[in-house]
Amino acid sequence: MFCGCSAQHFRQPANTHLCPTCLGLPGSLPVPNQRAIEMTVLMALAVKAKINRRFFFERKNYFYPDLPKGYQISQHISPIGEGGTVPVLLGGKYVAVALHDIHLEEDTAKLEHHGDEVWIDFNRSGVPLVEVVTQPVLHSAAAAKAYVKRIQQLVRWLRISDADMEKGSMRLEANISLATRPSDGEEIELPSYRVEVKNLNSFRFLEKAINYEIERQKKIWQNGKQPVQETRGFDAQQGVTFGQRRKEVAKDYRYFPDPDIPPLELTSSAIARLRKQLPRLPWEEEKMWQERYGLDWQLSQTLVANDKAREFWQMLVPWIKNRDQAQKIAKLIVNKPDRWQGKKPAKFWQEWQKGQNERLGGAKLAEIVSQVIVEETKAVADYRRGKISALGYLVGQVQRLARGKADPREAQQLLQQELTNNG
Amino acid sequence: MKKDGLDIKYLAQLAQIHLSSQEEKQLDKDLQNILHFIAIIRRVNTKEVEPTFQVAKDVQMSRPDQKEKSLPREAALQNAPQQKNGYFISKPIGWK
Repeated sequence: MFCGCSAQHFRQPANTHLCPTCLGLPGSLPVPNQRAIEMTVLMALAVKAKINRRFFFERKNYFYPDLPKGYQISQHISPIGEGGTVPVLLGGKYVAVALHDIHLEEDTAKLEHHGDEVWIDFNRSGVPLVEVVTQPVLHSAAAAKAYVKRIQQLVRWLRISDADMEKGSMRLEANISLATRPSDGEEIELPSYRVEVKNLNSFRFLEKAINYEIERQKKIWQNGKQPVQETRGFDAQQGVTFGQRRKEVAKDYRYFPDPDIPPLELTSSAIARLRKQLPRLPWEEEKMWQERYGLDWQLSQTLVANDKAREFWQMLVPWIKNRDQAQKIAKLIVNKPDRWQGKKPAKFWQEWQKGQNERLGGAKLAEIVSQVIVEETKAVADYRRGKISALGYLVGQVQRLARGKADPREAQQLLQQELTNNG
Repeated sequence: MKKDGLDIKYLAQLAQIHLSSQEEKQLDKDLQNILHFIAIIRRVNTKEVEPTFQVAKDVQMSRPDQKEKSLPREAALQNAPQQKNGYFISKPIGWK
């Protein structure tokens, strides 16, 4: 971030990407990396955060072996991005998760604990790290998981990082506290403590750690006490969190502007140039398919989230003529990857169309419809008594006998005709 | 925590240093003096003065995203008080 050492730290020999600057040797001077700043701005623009045109870096002081200097160069009162929202699909609708800030800092060293020794590899220390901090607006482990998945998607989408959690290029931290459920229409009153679970390296662990904390803290409250503010680790094998240290509060870090790095300025033309680089965002693309072809949100999201599926779909789009085709193709791409993987789009399209033409219709379909009406006496009676939903069931039965080859619309029309005519 | 907001024990904990009770007393006195000094400075009217974070006039230049040569590992480790297998070695540090 502030020197020219390689940012590749995964499976590299320990302590081979170091220089006087990232080791914090006397006399060295940090100089911020332009690209890292631009990528942070890009991220902030994508979530419509307010960009601080003039910003600076601060020293966050704490004493721990993962810092060579005794402080981490970070941002506190002038983060590159402030506010903003991330649209996340939750329970079938878009929820805008409110952000607190997006700031840029240097990553810290990787520690290995061997008995009473700590082995330190400083390769990762000094690598650019973007921290995206939410407001306290997530109220369940599931919501938190959906949100972090969205962040990973966005970071990859914007080509900021591979955000690979196995390589440590994306890490998760959850701050959890319990509040009394507010009565309707009232705002949640935030409790005066929070428990931070650090260094979670998978979505599953995040979910587990949050659920574990909810239960643990609930018990403490039920015993008439308040949980202490602390930093906890997560033991993946046991599925439990454990106390690590009393958590510092912001003032304990004694943040102050780094005197070695004067404030930086983003010109409006630089911001405009970055804004132009912004591609259509994942949630915009999801909405586009929903609106153009009536794909349901789940389908649209899965399609957009999977690179290969999305690419294949995009190549087919020019040939798609109507919503019906689009929905069938999208479902097939998402649910039956073996039907298209490794195929050329043109060839796939040809075959698919041929398959469509082989669909059952006409006399053959009419025959099946009659059979279903004869056999399904209860559903038929229900429908005639006005239970419209019985029709869906009957279409399903036709489809079953036709081995899925029936055209659903035609089947429905035929059924309706038969049921009204011969009532 | 004392009435004036100074908690030497807590500060020592943050800095991960051990203090004898003698040192605690001495430091308490020193820090009180510093706070007293700051209190005097704060009386100056700075209403019209912009905060000074740094004295360089220009804004910071940034560096291009280019890889540069790193130090040989032996050189990076040469001042380490303790090292093993190419790692820096430290004692565990934690809060009690």
